[in-house]
Amino acid sequence: MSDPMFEHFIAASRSGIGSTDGRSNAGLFAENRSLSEPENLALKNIEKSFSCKDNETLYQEILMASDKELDSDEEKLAAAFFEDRERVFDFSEGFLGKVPMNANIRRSFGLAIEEVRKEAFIYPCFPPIDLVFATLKEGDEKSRDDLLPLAAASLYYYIGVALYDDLIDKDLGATWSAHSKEHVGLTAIGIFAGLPAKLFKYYYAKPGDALMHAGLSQIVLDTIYDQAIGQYQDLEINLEHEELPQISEKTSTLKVGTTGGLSGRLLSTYLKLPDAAARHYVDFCTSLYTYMQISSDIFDIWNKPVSPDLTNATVTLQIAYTYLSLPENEKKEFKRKLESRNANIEHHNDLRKIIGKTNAFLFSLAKAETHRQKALMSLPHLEKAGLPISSLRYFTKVTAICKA
Amino acid sequence: MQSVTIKIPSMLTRLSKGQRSVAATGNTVREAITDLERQYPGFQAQLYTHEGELHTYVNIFVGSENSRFLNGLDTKVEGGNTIQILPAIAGGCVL
Repeated sequence: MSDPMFEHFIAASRSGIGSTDGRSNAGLFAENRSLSEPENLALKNIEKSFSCKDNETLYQEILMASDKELDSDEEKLAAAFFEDRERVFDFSEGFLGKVPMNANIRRSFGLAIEEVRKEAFIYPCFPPIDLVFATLKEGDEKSRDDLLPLAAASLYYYIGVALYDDLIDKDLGATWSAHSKEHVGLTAIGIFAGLPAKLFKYYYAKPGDALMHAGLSQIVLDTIYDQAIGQYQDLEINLEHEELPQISEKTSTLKVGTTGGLSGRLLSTYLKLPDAAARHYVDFCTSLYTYMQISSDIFDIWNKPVSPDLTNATVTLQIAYTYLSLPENEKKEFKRKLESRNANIEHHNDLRKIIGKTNAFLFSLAKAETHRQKALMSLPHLEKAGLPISSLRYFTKVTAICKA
Repeated sequence: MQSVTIKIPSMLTRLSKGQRSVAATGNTVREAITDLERQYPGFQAQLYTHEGELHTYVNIFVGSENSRFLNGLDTKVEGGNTIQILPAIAGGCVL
């Protein structure tokens, strides 16, 4: 199955168009009828946003543009989300005291929460929590309190899955240096697979609505299944996979988009949103998360002297595109270098040099921006369904890597 | 000691009482951040790990150079330099 965006970039590349090493980009962003509306919008936005020099400069431009000036309404929204995050983290830590468990595992759970807590307060959008509160009307304090356990469940899920992912990627921080990998694995599973259900039973098992907590738990189980498939697929992808590059994108959606979909599904079910609104909200959340994951994969290669993805030979979109677009005689050398899984800076600089010769960076940027455009396209449907969307619009703005 | 300007990302201005840029002194990035911490406590806890290293989700630029690709927190600064703190990606929550 062909991918029109991939074909578009490859065709440009074969005509000598593109790459950020100084060649002309004329035509790379031209409208293409075989592309979808969000794909064409993505190309247009990238063209308007960046001067496209070398990849390092492009990356820096993106980074500098990411710190956005907020107007006074957006500042109010940001402050409200920060307050919600404080409450949800406090609530999540407090709940550990309500569930019977031994002291060591409680400490491990607490450590995992604490590790993510700091990170959550540097971002303008922290979706596991923010997406649960985003559709509430201003001043709806009662619902805000009711949703605390739901937001905590969404947070637990993210924390557990992120920890498990770090374990698989051999990317655990110093926080876990005194723990065996078995202990870290069990901590992660306990958090993402166990604690949400405990929360639902504790807070939402009400007389007359006995199915609610079971329904919410089922949503978490379904998400774990999708996530496991995504993680498995992620481990299996190699440069000879016949579905490259689509498989890399699909894996991002399965691995991470499902985590976003979880927040949307939990909220829609708990608030009993009409089917159409629920579907569009889940689409919004899934697209936003997938967008963030693809962006993060781009940055992983350009932001760290030693890139974890290059060390692990992870076939992200940039890697898949680079490999497919290289002439046959250079493919073998790129594959050999990548699969040597060398964590050496010089080695990674070599790989970056090869990636930089292709359109891989811009291709991945176009893919990421396409998902942000898809999220934006859900907004009118949600508005039509009567949901307040100013917070959702704010998320798409503050996370944007394009200026437009 | 060199005099530098530290640019604060919008999400951390809650720590700097709304200031988007703060004057600080130091010979390295680490020393300048220590001075920022002295003026506005809370930055180090947000930016550093328990081991005193920069979190992976934060970048510190000296001028247009990412300090990660120089000497990290021990990167030397010169008088008049601008040090910019930035989140490493646009949005949180990725695997």
